[in-house]
Amino acid sequence: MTPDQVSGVFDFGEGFIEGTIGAALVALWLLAVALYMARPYMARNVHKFTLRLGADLWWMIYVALRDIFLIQVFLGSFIFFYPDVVSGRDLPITGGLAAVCAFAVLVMKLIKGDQDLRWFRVQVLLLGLGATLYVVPYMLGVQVTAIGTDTANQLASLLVSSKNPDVALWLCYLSSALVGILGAIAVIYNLRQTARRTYLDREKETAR
Amino acid sequence: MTADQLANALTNGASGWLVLSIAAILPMLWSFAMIMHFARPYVIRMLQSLTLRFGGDVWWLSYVLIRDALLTIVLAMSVIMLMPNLYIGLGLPLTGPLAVVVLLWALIVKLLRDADDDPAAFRLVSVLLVIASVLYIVPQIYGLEAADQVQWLDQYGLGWIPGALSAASGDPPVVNALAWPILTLSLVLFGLTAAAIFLRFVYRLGRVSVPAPDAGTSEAASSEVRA
Repeated sequence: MTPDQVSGVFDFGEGFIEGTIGAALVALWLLAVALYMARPYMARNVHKFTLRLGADLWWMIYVALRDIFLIQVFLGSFIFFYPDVVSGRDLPITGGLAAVCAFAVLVMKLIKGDQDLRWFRVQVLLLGLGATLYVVPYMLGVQVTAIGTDTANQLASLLVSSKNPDVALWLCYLSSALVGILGAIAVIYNLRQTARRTYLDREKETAR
Repeated sequence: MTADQLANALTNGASGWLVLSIAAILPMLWSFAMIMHFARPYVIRMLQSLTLRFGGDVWWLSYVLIRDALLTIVLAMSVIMLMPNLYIGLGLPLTGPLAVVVLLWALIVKLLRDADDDPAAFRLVSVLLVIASVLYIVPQIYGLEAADQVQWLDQYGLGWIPGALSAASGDPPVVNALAWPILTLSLVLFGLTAAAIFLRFVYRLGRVSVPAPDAGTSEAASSEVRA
C-alpha cells in the first residue's frame, strides 16, 4: 500500500457509512409511520392502567419515542442536502423531498399540535408521502443497480441520485431551500409566541 | 514504503477523516439542537396534558437535559474550528469559527439570564442560535459538501461558491483571503468572552446568592455559591 492509496481506505469508510445511513433510513421511515399509526392502540391502552402514573408514563414514552424517531429520520436525511454525497453515492433521488415532508410534520406539530384531528390527518398524509418518496426509489432504484436487466437499469438511471445527477442536484438544492423556509417559519412562530407574554404566565392562567 | 511512512500516512488519513466526519455531522447536531430549542411550545402543550406533577417533571427535565446537553456537545465539537491546523489545513467552513463564538454567547446568555422564563432572554438566545447555525450550516453544505460540484455549478455561473465558503480549497489548496482574519477575530472574541465570564464568576463568588425554587434547593444553591 502506498501513502496515496491510504485515502482510498477512508473514502471506503465514508461511502460505507453513507450507504448504511441510506439503508437504515428505510427502517426508520417505516418505524416512524408505524408509531404514528399506532396511536389508537396506545390510546386504548392508556385507559387500561389502574394508576394515573402508569398511564402518564405510557403516553409520555409513546409520544417521546414517536417524535424522536421522526427527528432521527430528518437528521439521517441530512445527507440528502450534501451535493457531493447526493451526486456521488447510490441514494434514492427523492430522499431530500422525503426529508422535507418529515420536517414539515415537525413544524406542523410545533404550530398546531396533534390534538386537532384535521391537522393530525394532514401530518399522517405527509408522513405517508415522505415514506413513499423514500422507500419506493430506494427499493426500485438503489436496490436494483446490480440486477443488470434493461428494466432494472432504466429504473436505476431514473431513481438513483448518482445515475441521474442533474435532477438529483436540483432536488438537493430545492429540498434544502424548502427546509430553510420551514425552519424560518418555526423560528418566527417561536419569536412571536414569546413577544406576547411568557409561557409561565400562560401556564398560570391555565392552572387558574 | 517504510513502516514509518505507512504509520504517518494512516495517522494523517485517520485524523483528517475524523475531523471531516465531525464537520459533516455537526449540521445534523446543529439541526437537532435547534429543533429541541424551538420545540418549546410543543413540549409545554404536552406538559399541560399530563395529569401528574411527577410525569410533568420527568417530561420537562428530560426536555431541558437533552436540549442543553445538545448545545454543549455542539460547542465542544465545534472547537475544532478554532484550531488553525485543522481549520486552514483541511479547509473547514469559512465562518465556522464565528459560529463557535456566537454559540458561546448564546450559552452565556442562558447562563446569566433565565431564558426559560424571561421572553426577552429567550428571544436573544434564539436569534444568536439562528445566526450561529447559519454561519456553520450554510458554508458546510454549500462549500465543503459541494466542492466536487464546481463544474455543474459553473453552468449557472455559481462555480465560485464552494471555494468562497471554505477556508481553503483546490488542489494544491489555496487559502481563502478571509480565513485568517476570521480565525484571528474568532480566537480573540472567544478568549475575551471566556475570560470575561470567568472573571465575572470569580468576582461575584460569595457576593450574590442564587434564587432557587424552594427552600431545600435554595440552601444548597446559596451554600454552593458561598463555598
